[in-house]
Amino acid sequence: MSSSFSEECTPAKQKYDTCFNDWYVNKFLKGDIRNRDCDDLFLEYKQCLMKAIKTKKIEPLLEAARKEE
Amino acid sequence: MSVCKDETEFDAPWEKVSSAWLRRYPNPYSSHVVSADVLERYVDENGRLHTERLLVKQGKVPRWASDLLNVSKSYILERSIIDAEKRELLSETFNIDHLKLLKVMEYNRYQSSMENSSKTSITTLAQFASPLRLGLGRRIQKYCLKRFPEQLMGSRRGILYVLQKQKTFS
Repeated sequence: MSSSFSEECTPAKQKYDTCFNDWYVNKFLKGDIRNRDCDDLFLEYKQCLMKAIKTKKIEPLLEAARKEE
Repeated sequence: MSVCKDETEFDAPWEKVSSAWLRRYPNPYSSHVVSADVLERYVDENGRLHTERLLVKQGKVPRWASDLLNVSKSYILERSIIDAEKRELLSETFNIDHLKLLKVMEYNRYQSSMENSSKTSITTLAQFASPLRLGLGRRIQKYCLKRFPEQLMGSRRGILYVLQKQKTFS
């Protein structure tokens, strides 16, 4: 399983990834697309990620990429 | 603007390929991808799964640029839309830094094969744009002919590697 670019988010990411991989194969691909089993884990992971994106100065790069569209 | 194109087929059903594609990092053929983070993910009103990921490439990277420019680290944004009903995965990948030198967009389509549903056909398109006049056109043309197919082979071997591992465990 891949790491997060921000080391402190890797545990939350891997918990979420485990949930998502299972969801993708056993829910999404089987048509159960409204199932939201992994939402809480994603939120936890994303909160960590958003902080890191700010402190590591990746935010301006992302904003510029989104503005271009 | 220069474009490279490539088509191929995997001897595995789309469901397995799309699942391997999502979890293709890390793999021994992409050791230069040091991290892959999910920035956004949701299912739209038509039941399609949208994902936005941030990839960090380091070392002999970015793979498209290593031949063309001397850059050692790059941030890549990868967006994908997965339609399980149509059995189709569309992705676009592009660098969000070093844009003053070169922007590379890579588009992929993974589709269940029309003739044989146990196979997956893959189309890849790469597009290069640079604000610099470095005579990149000719270098990119050469790149398209030789290095692009080689590097694609590497990224596809990575997906096949993950596919193989999936088979072992399931």
